[in-house]
Amino acid sequence: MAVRISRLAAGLAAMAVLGTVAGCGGGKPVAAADRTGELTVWLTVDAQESWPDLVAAVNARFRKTYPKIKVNVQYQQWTTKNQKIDAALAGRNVPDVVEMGNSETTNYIVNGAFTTVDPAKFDHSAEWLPALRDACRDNGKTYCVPYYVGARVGIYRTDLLAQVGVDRAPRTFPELRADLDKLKAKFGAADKNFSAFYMPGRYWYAAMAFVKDTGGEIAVRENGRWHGALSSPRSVAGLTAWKDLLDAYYTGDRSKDNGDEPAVVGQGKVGMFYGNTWEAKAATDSRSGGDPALRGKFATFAFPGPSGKLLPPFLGGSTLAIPAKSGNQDLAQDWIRLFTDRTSQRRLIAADTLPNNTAQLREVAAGGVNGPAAQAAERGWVTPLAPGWGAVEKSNVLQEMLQDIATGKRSVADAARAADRRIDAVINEH
Amino acid sequence: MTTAPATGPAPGRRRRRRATANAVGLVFSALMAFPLYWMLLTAFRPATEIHADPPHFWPDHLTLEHFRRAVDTPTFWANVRSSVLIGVGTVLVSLLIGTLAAFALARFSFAGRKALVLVILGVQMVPLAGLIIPLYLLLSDAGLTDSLVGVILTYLVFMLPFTVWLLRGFIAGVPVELEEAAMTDGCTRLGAFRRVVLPLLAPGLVATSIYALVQAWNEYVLAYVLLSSNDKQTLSIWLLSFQTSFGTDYGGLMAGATLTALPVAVFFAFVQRRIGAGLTAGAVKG
Amino acid sequence: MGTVELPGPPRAAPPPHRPRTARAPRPRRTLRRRLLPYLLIAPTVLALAAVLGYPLVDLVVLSFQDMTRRELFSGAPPPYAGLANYRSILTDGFFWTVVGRTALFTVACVAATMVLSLLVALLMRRVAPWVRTVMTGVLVAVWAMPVMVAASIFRWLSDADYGVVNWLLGLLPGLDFSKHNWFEDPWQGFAVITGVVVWGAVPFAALTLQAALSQVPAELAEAALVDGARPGQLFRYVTWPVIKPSAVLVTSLSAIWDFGVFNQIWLMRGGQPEKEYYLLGVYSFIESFAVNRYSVGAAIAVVTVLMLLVGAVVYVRQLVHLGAAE
Repeated sequence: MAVRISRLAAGLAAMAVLGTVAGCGGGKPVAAADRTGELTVWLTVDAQESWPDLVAAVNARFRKTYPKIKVNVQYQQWTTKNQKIDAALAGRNVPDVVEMGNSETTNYIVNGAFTTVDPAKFDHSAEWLPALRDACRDNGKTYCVPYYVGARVGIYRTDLLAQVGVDRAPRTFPELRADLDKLKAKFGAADKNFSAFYMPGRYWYAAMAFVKDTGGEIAVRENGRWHGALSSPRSVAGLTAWKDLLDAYYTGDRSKDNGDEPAVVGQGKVGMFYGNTWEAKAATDSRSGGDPALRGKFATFAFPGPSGKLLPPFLGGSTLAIPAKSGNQDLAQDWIRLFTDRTSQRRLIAADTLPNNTAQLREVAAGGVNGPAAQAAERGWVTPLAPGWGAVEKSNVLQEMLQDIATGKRSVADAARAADRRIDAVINEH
Repeated sequence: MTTAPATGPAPGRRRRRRATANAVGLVFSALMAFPLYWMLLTAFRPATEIHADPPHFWPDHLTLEHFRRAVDTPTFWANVRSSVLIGVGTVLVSLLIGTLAAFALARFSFAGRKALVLVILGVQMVPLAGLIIPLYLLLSDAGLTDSLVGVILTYLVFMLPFTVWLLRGFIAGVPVELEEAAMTDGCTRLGAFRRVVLPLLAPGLVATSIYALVQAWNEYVLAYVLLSSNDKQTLSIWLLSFQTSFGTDYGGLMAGATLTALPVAVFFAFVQRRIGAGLTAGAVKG
Repeated sequence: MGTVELPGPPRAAPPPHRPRTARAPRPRRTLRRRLLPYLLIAPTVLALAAVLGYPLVDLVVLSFQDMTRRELFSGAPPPYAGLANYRSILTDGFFWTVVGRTALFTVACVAATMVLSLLVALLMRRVAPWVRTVMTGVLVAVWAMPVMVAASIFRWLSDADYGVVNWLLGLLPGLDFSKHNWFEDPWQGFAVITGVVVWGAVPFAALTLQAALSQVPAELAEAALVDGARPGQLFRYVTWPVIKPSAVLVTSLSAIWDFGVFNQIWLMRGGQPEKEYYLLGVYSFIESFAVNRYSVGAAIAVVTVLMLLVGAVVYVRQLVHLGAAE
């Protein structure tokens, strides 16, 4: 074992040196047009499903500068991506660019997985969204590049709301509840499977938005150590508000998550839900179990929170990082630069996604499907940037707490205290 | 040949008993087959009917749209190729070197034989998931990550023990006298093995290859980690792609599942007569 | 012989207790002959040692270290932790809960598989040939299903909103299973998971036992019946001794497989099993890859193997005994 590790280390050191030489050869580098080799990029399936043309366009632009470099894009599933990245980063055959969710980066950065990047080389880096920028920073250095972000919004069935005499989206929380009451009275009475508001019990991105709305936190940092804060009075207030909404308007399964939300909504027995903007489209796509007959019957709105302000959405987004072991770090940086520049971001906006910077956030059409998301994004939040946060997510602490609350197995305060204990156990672990 | 007890109660009662047995057998078959029926039904019905509430028990309209979509995924044929290469490669190599070891175990007594038997049995208990990182590092050092050879090697060691054990039983079942007769007739030991033992081993080889094929065809955890290129991945991993962030495409998934299971099912149908026999022989002689 | 009759194994050989080389080493045994068995086993031994032995040693070493992602990524040797990992899992009540749950799950799955398979195998000897063809066909088709596919199908069947199982149960008078979630209560969830495992395991077991049953000499059975044996006695004194080796083999293999079950749970819980669904295999995997406590995960894997070894010791001794006697 020791032998292998030292051999491995030597190999890596050599590779790292090579990488540095290639990257820093300011004097007389090999002309870009003559560079040969292969650049391996790991993106998640979102790019394959929603903006494959952007990937193709960026590769074409990259080829203009480096005609002899082959760009090899591999698509990974979100659920199993990291296990694969872990193995790859431990070995020799590392990808040159990896896509990382913004709640995943911290652990990798503190463990030395990624190399630093120079923000100055990237478009709009001064206006990068804090939700993504902060996830890429550690000790003043930047280790990844913001890619895109998504914010959840309210989505409602325009036709159903029209049938109860409402012709616009609710703007305040009481208005929201009044609309939901009407939906429930009209459709819920006839069909016990009708949910005026769809909110599955393990949907933690939604529930935590309520926690944030009442001023609560998932975890806080005190004296350099993180600990769970779900049982704080404000957090409990948020969880209680979430539970009230669920009790009043949701008839479905309380122990599932929002994984098949579009399919469920597509069955036509949901009046309103809280989700990503693309879910409205997915609910009308038969491939995801939706119903094409519902096309044109959904609209989005900025979801009002119980606090009187907009419900703060989780800003789930992606970043692009360069593994420290990559031998093509300068090429990787160039590819990322093209993939996240102004032109590329514009293409992402066209694909109903929010850009990585506040400047272009203004380019998102206010009246479009993503307008409310751009509006709410300003109040957006991210998961705690703690080294052990990934472990908290992977061990389903939040989901299990919410399920216990939603099904009534435990009181809000009890479940929150138990969750805090589990968070405390892992959140500071590297 | 009748194996059911031939004597006993009056013919009338026997007929009634037979009828009851038949009925129970058919009910059991229906229950076992139901998940398969539902898979096929989901695969062949239009997307809008898949999520019907309440579910429709019989097919209303049939469509090939899911199969078309599944086959049209960019990497489908590349994944078929990977699965076939890995499956066939694993089976052939494990049969080849497994037979040699089985022969040694069945026909020779040598120091360390007991230890080998113990190791071979113990290997069955090693949890594959626990070995992912060490295995990955090893293959990475050998330059065998993202390579079908690396996967075949890995599967090989998990198949070998069972292969050796099963074949050993078969070889033990071939009378030594036959072999000796061939040797006195001028055959070498190897010649005797080839002409006498090997033909009698056929059912054992079939049973073993089925076991290895099914394991190699179905495994996905290691293959997923070891093969990073989308076009080198196997069909089991390809199936995962129907579970997207948009939700699970059950129509596509079930069509893909049908396509994935089909080759193995066809292969089984051809060789099923040998399956049980092979396993029994291995056990009886075990 | 009926069309689906599984032919018997080569049984030309008299009983296995006829050691040749062991009892009567011949004088003409040369060095080359003595080397031959080692040459024959060399490829197998080498492959096992390189691809399995080496990582296994790594795993054991890892369980005595404290490996984090930092060491994993940099390749630096992790610090040694002595017995800390073992101490932390063995003193953790949750670990023992998982151990107990795994044992219970294994017993339930193996018992269900064996009882069902034996009944099916016996039944297959009694039904008309065409029914036997149908049964064999179904068993073979089920056997051919990849576990990935089986888990997907069962997940789909037991889906809370659109699952056909809920709907079928709802058809029974007085039952309302609409939107019933089978995985909310771990007992019910494990019932479904046991269902997948048993469904997938019955074909192998039933076909093997069925083939073994075909070895029961018909004359013997007839003679026993003529002598006035009851069906129970017939099974106990005539049938069982013949099929016992097969039954023992199938039982042990099922036990080993079920004890280490991972795929079914992982896939049925969508890659995010709740704590109530942890079995040893899943627990080890999560500790390693989700919580990044690689060394704790390794320790759990090592303990799992040790438990299996202890549990299997009787069986192994019996087999070694049989193997050594030849």
